[in-house]
Amino acid sequence: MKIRKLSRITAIAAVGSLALAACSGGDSDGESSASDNVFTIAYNSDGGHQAWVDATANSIKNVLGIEVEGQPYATFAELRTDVGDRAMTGAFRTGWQADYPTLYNFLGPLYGTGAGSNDGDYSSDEFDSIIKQGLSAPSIDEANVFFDQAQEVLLADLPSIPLWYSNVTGGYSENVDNVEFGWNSVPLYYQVTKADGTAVLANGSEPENPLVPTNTNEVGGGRIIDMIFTGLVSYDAAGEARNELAESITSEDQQNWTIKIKPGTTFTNGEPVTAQSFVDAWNYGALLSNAQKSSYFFEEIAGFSYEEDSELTGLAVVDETTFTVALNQPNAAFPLQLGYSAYFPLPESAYADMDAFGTAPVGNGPYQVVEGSWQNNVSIELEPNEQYSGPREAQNSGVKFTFYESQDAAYNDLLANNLDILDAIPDSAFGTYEGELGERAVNQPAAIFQSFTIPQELEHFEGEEGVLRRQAISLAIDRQSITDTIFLGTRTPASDFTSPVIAGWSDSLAGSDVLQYDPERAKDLWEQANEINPW
Amino acid sequence: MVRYIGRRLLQMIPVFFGATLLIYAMVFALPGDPIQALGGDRGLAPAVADQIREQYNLDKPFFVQYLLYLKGIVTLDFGNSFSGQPVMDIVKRAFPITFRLAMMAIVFEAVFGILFGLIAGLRKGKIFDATVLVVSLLVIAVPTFVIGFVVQFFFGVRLQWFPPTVGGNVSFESLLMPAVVLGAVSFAYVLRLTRTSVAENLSADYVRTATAKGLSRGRVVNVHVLRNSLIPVVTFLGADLGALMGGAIVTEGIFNVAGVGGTLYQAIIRGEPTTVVTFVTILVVVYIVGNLLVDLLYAVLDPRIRYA
Repeated sequence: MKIRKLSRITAIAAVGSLALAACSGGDSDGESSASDNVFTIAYNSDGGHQAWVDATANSIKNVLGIEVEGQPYATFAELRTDVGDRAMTGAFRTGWQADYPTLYNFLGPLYGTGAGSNDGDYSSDEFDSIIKQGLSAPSIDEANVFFDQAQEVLLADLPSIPLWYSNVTGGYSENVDNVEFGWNSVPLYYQVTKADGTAVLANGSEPENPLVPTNTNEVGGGRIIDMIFTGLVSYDAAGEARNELAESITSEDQQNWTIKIKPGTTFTNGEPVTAQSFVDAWNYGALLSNAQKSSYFFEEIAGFSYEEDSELTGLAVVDETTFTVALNQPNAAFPLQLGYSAYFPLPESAYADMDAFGTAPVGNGPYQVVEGSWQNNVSIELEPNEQYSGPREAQNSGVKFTFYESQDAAYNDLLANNLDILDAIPDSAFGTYEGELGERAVNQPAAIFQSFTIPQELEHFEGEEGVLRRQAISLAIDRQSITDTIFLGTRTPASDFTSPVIAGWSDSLAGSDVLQYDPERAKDLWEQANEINPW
Repeated sequence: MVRYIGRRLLQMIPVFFGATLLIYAMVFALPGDPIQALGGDRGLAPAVADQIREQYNLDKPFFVQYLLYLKGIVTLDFGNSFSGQPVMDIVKRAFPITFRLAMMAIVFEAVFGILFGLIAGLRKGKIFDATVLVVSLLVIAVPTFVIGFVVQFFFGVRLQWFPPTVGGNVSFESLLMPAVVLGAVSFAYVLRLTRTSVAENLSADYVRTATAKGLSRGRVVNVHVLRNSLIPVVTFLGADLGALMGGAIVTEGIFNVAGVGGTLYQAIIRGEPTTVVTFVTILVVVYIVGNLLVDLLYAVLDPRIRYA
């Protein structure tokens, strides 16, 4: 899931650093001291990252006595382009927000050999084989044992340096009750009650894509999709999966799955939800020429291809309410993934014109879009879908999302009771919001992991020397004081590569002491690395 | 007169093509691949990214892209944004809001700027003049976003006289605060321009003549002094209209107005050529029309100016 947290004001500061970046050019300010090696951490300055990057750089610099600098990119697009082209000349910031609540989601896509988001090109046979064993485990609990082992491999190799877990910060007005934030940092809108019976006012951001489940990969559209559609399973506040449309999801070998769905449910246009609704929707999402942004969620299903248009041969409709899924390799976590929006069913009427469908979607979730209420860049209104019955039944008369470009504006609306639920406190109010909102302030861990990645090929960071240097850098970062002073307690120092809200998370993995601040050991390891190959 | 206007309007055609070409080239030259950013931190699968690039013609050479864009314009198809909305829909939504906001700001700065400037100019060196000069200096010196946040916090959050943000509610009441903030700096300039101009003209020969003829003080001030003093002010206001429409990014952000500035800013960040080029081109046209109106107003204000 894509995190786009962009405040206008910080963004304007970014224009300044564009000029700065242009001035400083490629080389490092012409300093020519004895060791002119500079360790850089690249970041996009349109996302409010400068403060922590500078603080992290200083922490490393002070402990190891080397030159460390933040390397600003004016826009996220520029950073991603260089990362994608493997043109990075230093470390770069990376972050991950879980799509579905499993440990695997933080590990496989990021560190598996050749995996889609393995931006540092990490490759470890040991890691890969442990992950594979985990995916073949008969249950998720047993799988998690392997995933923890896999993390211990990562802690030894440090392909990326874990920094902290983001908390979700938010608040709500005096007009609403029963506000709870979910594991994925999205409020559980359906259970919010409002005394005066009017629609709940919530903040959102303009969906970046038409509202099609397989093409929505960012939070603005994602939260709306999650409310107007229902999949096989959904997640409760703690991230526990529970059946929605699924009657059962079973497999003997974790590779060939049989999915039975509840009969008799319908889309809001009256079309029944059948096994075919799922199979067609997944095939649509996977087809190359449909260019769906979430197509990678179908990679593991037999028949998927990035080379040409191909049918998902692994999907087969058995009868009206049953279909089977054949995966390319076992995946014990497969049932847990199925609450993610890419796996939602679509009505037949969608395929005639998907873009038109995306502007006026017909779903089967607890809410439906109020006809004509979507004003681009302004707001969208949802009303309860009376036909829905399930664990997420609406307890209010509707939800109106107002789209904000700046969280400061949304926060002021909350203070004036013009907004009922805010899911992100602006950085500028980190110090004051708990005092201003009192019990109505929310600050809890979320499934967001932040780190910076050191490319495997980077000079001085390969082989034995590289491992020593990576460990030294990790030990030189005073995570606690950075989260306290820069983030004012809205981040929690990381003790692994996942997130504390995920079932199976552990804060006592073997080797996690490398994430503690230990200047003496850091200097020591750095010296050892210098003996192998001077910095 | 009609020929003059016709000629000026014809001049807009080469300006239009020049502007679109230049802006298209600049967006094209922006560093970074906009499609890469669509995948967020996860990144897009390369095959999917290629498909999307093809959809938006981003895989083609610059001139082919530009010609395809022009071809679309001829058929009134301005292309789609990356989110799949027709750019024309975005234009229809954003421009009326910003236009309304800019108009309110212009009216505010013109009415109050000229009024206070006139009084200050007539009472040059007196206590009113001194106060107004200090206040306007402050307004110019303090950045807009500081004024914006302070006004929003006091009148929106604390006193709750006005809604703190605009959102979808574009009523006069909710736009008042942002309009005043938006017009604040220009208000100070208008005030100072008017004051200087009035003070200078007061000692001009024709004013002394008018007074000597026995005209009433009111008539001297209104017809002779003010009318002549307004020429530089009108020039400023005309240029300001364009600036207010395109440059309201900060104010629009603070008050959550879904207008031109914010949309344009987001489109630039996303590297979306269709939206950026269409928006900027419309802004260029607004600028040209605004300047034409100013030139025509000169003739009204100063009888010596005639257009043939």
